[in-house]
Amino acid sequence: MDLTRRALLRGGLTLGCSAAAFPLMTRVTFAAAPGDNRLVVIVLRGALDGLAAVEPYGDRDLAAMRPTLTTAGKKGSVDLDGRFAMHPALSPLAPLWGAGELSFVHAVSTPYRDKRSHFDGQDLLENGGGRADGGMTSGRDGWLNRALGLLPGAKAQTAIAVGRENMLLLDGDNPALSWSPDSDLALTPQALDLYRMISAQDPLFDAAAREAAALDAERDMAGGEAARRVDAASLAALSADMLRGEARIAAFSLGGYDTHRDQDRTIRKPLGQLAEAITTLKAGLGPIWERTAVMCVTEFGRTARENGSRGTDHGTGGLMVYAGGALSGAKVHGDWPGLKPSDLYQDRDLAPTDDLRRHAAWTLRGLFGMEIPALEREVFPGVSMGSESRILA
Amino acid sequence: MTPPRDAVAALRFGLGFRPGQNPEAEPAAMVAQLAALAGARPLVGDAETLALRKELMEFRRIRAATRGKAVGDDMRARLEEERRELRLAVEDALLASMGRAVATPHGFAERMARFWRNHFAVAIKFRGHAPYVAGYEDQAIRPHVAGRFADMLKAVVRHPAMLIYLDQYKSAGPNSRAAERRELGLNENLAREILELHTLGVGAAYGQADVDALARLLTGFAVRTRGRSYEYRRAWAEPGRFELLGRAWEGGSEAQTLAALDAIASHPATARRLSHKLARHFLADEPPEALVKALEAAWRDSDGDLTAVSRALVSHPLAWSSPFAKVRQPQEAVIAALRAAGAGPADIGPGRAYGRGLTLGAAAQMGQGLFDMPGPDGWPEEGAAWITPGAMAKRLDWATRMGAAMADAGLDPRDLARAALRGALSEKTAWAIAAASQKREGFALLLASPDFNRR
Repeated sequence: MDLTRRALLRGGLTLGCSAAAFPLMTRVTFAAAPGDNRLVVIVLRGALDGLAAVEPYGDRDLAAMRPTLTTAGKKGSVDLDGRFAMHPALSPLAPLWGAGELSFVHAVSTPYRDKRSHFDGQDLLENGGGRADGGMTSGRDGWLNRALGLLPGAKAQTAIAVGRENMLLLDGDNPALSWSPDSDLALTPQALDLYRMISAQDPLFDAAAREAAALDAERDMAGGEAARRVDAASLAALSADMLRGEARIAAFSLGGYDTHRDQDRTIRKPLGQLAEAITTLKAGLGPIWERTAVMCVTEFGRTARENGSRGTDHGTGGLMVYAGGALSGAKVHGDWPGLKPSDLYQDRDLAPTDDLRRHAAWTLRGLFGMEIPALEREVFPGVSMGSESRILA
Repeated sequence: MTPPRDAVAALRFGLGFRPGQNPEAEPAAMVAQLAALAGARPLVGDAETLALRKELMEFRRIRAATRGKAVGDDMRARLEEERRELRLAVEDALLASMGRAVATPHGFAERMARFWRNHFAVAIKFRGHAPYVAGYEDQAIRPHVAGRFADMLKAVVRHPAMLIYLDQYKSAGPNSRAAERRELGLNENLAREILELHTLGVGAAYGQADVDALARLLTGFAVRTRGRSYEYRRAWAEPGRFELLGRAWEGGSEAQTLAALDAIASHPATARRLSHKLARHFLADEPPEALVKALEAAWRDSDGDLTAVSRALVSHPLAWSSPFAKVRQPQEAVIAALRAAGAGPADIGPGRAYGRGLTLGAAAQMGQGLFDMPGPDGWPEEGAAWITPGAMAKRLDWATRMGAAMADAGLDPRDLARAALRGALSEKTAWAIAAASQKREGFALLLASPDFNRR
């Protein structure tokens, strides 16, 4: 990376305000770098149907629950271990499974229960809050943001939320960046200078304009072959660009998982996008993939039984998807609760048998060496990390 | 610092100043706009929906005729042409609705209509859904902005746009007559969102059993296969008695389900939640409790009469004294810019002074496409969701392109700034606009400024 050119670009953007006043404008320093490992968190919005993504075809009660929705044995389905099979739309990930770079955790959840609201479920998933009633921690910030506070040498460039939307996951007191693949800054430096003057009194506009200027420069440096679209591949490609630079943590969301209807058809595209995001990350990260873990989470699972429209409704126990060279091997983790009506949560949903935040905490520990007491106190208050989750090497 | 009264009326409660119009700033006159808007002729009425549907059927006919066959270039061109026609027809409806907002003297009523349109959010789900979504606001929302909330709720729940959006049209009672003959079943999507998003709110005291009961009561609310209007389909309705929020209702009866919806609309949790949401939309992301309380009292005293609730909002001293703390959402910013420029509906659209990319396209780029809200909870309300670095880059980009079009139209940025904000233009912003080295940058500074983007 050409530090002189970057310093020059950044210098051009300081525009008379004190360089020290804003962390983005300071000189790049590697003195206290936050390690060399990389974490990508993908939030799958809409409640992914874990039973479709990683089908428990070895469970003899599956067929009764899902008369029309099973895919195991069909073209493209990937048998994983004689018990579980990967959905055909995820088949681009089969080579990763073979290489020990793909894992799943079944029947996990946050403490969120019963109301089954996407929005509250996602808020809790991203906040990481500990109350059983689904309440958030008092700061209403994101757990990944709180984790930045435990990362030595973390600065704004260390973590980036990629995409157009604001992500609660990275919101909070610790500085983090956000940028979208299709963003671009059009004003001349002179006009930007004037803009700074009028936005100075409004912190929201001021901070956004400053970050936009800095990220625009960063993106131009990262190669410029910017796919100016916002889809799974471009989100993953931009994340990989940033992770090849100073970023150690990237987060983005994929949507479309709310398959109430005709699930056999409607789930293919969102699953395909998940597979594309992961393969694009691997390709874009090159040798860094060896030191990367991708963790995909969703707000909750779906009903074990298919509904009246060949879809599934909001449920409880869900699925985590892990990928990356930092994994310990290919495995379907988790304590499988079974699909007999009496095994289900409220005779309806896959029963959650583990807390997904526990795995997230172990992932942070595995990649960044964060201390267990600090993780249990600050990042996931109320969570007991218990025995090691052994998803990472 | 208390903003000028006409600026509050135009910016907080309207869609921006427009040359030649003085915004109504007295509560009685503002509230009177609601009835005028509710009674106005719809832009997209039944006839227009039908025309859009014809366009859709024609497209499908041609597509079916070509599917799976080796077709010549002329046939492929016809299909492409028909696809384009359909898209343009929907887009015309969108542009017309934007044009109406740009020209209206009834800014407050227009804002209220937009608030309720967003509250009962419906995004376009697939191509065949678009004709209904295009007419949804005019047919189900606007006629009720001066009336009772319960009536709006019942109109929404019986509109094909909502029935399709939240999968209700596929939901049938497992013990209904129709389910005996073919495989049909329950889908609880709409029922859940009515309780969670449209009325009580997720924090209220209801549970899965209530969702389930409402889902069963809603079976039979269907979309007619021919003509695609709403119909009550008794054969799909689940028979039985269902307990919802502590009261029992009879299944298999449209009247009972509508009465149950009335009860949900009249629930105190609905009054509380929607009072808060209104105050939050117009005043501040964290609205003053005194205002919320005043709205809630008006709501309960009038059983959700939206004229009474709106009157309480614009009669409250805090509504006029609070600083501009909200962020204009992208569509509002685009409309306000066009209003300040004195543009009319004829100036907006492909090939016109303010083309698609500066209007519909720009709003979408800034994160707010006209009919593609992220989910049934509608657009985010908090300013931080709209002013992220990426969205800021988009706003600056739009402001610059819009500035070029305004310069082409012979406008002066200093005049435009006064026209857009009148007494609410700060000295600093006025100075920076005058100091810009090119006209288009002067416009851009105005349109991206906090002055312009706060209300």
